[in-house]
Amino acid sequence: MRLPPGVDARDFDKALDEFRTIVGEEWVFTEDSDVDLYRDAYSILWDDPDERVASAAVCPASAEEVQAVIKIANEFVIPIYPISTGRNLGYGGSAPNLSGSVVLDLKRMNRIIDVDEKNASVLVEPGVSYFDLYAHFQKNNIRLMIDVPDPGWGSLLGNALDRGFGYLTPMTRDHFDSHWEVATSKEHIANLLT
Amino acid sequence: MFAFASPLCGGGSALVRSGSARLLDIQAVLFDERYPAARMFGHAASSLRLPSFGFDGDLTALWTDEIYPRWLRRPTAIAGLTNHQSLICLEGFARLYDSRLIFRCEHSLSSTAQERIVHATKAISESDLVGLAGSSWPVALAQLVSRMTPGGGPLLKLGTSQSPAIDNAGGCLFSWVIAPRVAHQIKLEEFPS
Repeated sequence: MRLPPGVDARDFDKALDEFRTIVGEEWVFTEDSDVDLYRDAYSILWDDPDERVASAAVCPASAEEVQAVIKIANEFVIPIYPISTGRNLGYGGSAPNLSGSVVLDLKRMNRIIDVDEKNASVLVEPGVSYFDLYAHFQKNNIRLMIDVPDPGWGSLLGNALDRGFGYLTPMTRDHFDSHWEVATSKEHIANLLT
Repeated sequence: MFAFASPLCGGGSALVRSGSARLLDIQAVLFDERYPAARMFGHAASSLRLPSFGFDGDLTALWTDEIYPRWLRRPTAIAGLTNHQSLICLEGFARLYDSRLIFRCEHSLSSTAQERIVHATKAISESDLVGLAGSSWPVALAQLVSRMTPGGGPLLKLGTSQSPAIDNAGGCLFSWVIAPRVAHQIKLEEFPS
């Protein structure tokens, strides 16, 4: 097993146990065959000792679980590399910037909480991809058009944080500068819905 | 898109029992119908009662209409014989839906039998190897896929299919099986719907 930089195996095991308590045994990945899925498929350092690779991955299902995981990571000084889908290829991917980081994979947080057709706004969790939102619009006959970038498997959040664009940029803006608000608690989400 | 069988059938565990062996319940077999070998594989899979879907190199319709709705509900095992690009896309999607590549075999389109199998990510029996080296290798491959078991074997020891080290000059097809993670499969088996 790979280790985060500056963290010994004993402490890392303790942290992983704490992560498992928070998110459940099956959502902490430490086997190579699972962790390797986060490698950068296009890395020019593939299989090179300098390739940037994760030590483990953790998949929380709620904002509260994210906060609990971060608290443990802070306690053990473990670097965290958060991804939403890790598929906004061209800007970012799922391989960490710092080798040995634990990938915080938000793929389980993929709920579309609300769509306001009148105001053309959506309230989504970080793991919602453009495919997900498109399918939701189609299924519910929602008359909105997504300012979608090339990678449909990328997330709305990822593209915004990467200051990405969509095909409607001349009519809109880049997704970071467009109006958006980050909700970090159930109360905050409730406020946005009222 | 061309289908040899009815669209993906519903429900059930990712595993089925055959005698005492646990076999993967493969709910879709994908083949790139631009390649004669892949078409032969698709026909053979269909004759083994595996739901088979052909496509012309563009996975979009197959993904949006068949695989994506199924995986949204829960991950299911799929298999295929495609080119490298299609496999990269599906393997990328697999991680998002708690699945992973459990088998990959690289088939050179060379006419030389000795060169036909480049490498595989899972142990293949001697008899299967003989079949895969023969002229009817797509049929042997379909039979191998239909007997696939979950997990086990030296998974991904040769790197994932996304490894840039793989020769992508167009002289190869890739057979593959993507399945829910083993923990998830066991969970489904214990609590069948």
